[in-house]
Amino acid sequence: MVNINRKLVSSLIIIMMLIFVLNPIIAKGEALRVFDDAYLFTEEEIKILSEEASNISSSYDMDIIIVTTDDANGKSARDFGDDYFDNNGFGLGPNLDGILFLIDMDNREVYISTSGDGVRYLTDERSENVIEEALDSGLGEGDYYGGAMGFLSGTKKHLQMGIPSDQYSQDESVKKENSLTFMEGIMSLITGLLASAGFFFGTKSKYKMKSPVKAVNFRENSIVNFTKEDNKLIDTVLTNKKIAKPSSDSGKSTTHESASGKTHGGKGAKF
Amino acid sequence: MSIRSYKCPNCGAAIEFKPAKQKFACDYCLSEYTEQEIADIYKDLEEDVKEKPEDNIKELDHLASYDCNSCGATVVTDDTTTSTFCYYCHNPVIISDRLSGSFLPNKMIPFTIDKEKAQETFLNWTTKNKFVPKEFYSSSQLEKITGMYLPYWWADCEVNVDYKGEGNIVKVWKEGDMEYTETNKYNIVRKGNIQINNVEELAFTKISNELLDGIAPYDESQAMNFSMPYLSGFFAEQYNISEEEIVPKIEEQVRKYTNSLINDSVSEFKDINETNNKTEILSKTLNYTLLPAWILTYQYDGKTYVFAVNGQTGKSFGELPINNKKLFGVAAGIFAFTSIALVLGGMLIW
Repeated sequence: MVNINRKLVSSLIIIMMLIFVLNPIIAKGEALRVFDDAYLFTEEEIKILSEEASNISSSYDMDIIIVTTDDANGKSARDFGDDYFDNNGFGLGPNLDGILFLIDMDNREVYISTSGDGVRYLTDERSENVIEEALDSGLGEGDYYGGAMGFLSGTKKHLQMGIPSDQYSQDESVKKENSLTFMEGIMSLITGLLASAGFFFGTKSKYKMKSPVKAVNFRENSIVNFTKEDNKLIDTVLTNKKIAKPSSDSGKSTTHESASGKTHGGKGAKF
Repeated sequence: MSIRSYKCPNCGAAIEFKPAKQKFACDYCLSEYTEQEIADIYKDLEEDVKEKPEDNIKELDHLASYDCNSCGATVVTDDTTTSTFCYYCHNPVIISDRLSGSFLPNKMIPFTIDKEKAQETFLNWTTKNKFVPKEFYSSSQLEKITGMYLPYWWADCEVNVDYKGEGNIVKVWKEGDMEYTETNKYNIVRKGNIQINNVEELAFTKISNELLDGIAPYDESQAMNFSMPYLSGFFAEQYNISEEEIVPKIEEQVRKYTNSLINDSVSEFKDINETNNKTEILSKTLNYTLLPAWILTYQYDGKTYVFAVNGQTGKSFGELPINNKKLFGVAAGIFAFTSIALVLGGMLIW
């Protein structure tokens, strides 16, 4: 009996000690920033990435998260990234500001999911730039650490630049479910009716005798003989104008709703 | 009343013009003749017609019946008919009195499309359209297609033109990110005369002008001087719109064509401002011309439909009856299909 109690106590102590040993990361007040579920980074790399992410995070009050996965649970990279962000309670402040970088080995896709002010900082154009930087920094060649560093430096650069003055958010307005509203049903019927009426009256009118325009060969039956045929230049005016450039759309952030109903922005690319 | 039937010198049966062969043939002994051969045979008779005094013809104009010179039956014709068939023996008959004096045609275009070809055209047209009632293109219907020479006025006109105007030629080009526009303004002068030949107007009120507009144009270059034997085996009608009545219509056309021709010659200019446009019709010569057409008239559902084929070019035109029940069925099918496709698409795809 005593033996058993002793064993219990010692194992409890060992567990307590283990908790205590693992604690420092939490105890330091630092949240986890790198979730390497696909084991793409070395421990050393995770440490560097975490530090850099924390730096950016505290400088701009923006949650910076790096996630890798080799199983997206059948989701697209976008849905996986958005859900990862939402389900783990990321995001700082009332707007849940944050930027998540996902290397999805399952879909072979890299994706940036933005939230709150992150959407405003990383417009569509900027997100694409960051992704490009990540791909150029080695992600395209299998250097995932380099890619993650590329993401961090690209993101930092854009955060430094601030929110673009012409930034605006627009929902991409996808239908959430493939359900049919009553109005859509009515519209389908009306379209069907229009199509059949078009056919009915079209055929009717095709069978009607149309008032023909009489074809006349008057050109073949005439001889034009001008004794005087004169074109005299009397005036010349030369004007010029600058060709207007097509307006750019660089300030646009496209947003969408994740499964939990929160608004996200973001961009991705296959690699 | 003087009538003419061209008879085969070999067997005495009637000779008809055969468009496919462009020859005259007897259906009984299968002899074939050229226009020249026919002319030689009937030379004496042609002179007889010319010698007839004017008053005789006028008097005869009122008559609307003749005795068939083949079977002797009395046949009544319409007062404008010049070429027909005996109702009893189906012998082709040309009422030559109605083709003399001011009613002697100057020009004609003979048939080149024969009855079989016209029927084929009709069948192609009807069977291509799926909603035509079946009974409509029956062979008994097809038998009714009639080859007719229709009277037209053709005018050759000379027009004097005096035109002045101002117009622009605009050039636009790019250099770097600049666009240049050069506007050159011209004084335009066109003076001279225009000869417009064969300006056509129907000279007959008993057939729809619209129908015949639909089978226009004829190739005027193929027109020849009038020759009576070509009427044999076809119907022909006399004009009932006189030269005097047709002149304003002809002049209207001539002015329209003149303007088009002037516009053709100044088409390189934009924003034309006409300052002077005087056209004067100096002279006009009217030719009484017979043009060939195949006409089919039919009744369906209490309504009369007409179909015409150009006897020279084969161009066809007309109105088709429609099987409303069949059309409605197909339209209902389209409604059902489209609606269902959209509803399913709405649920599953979009």
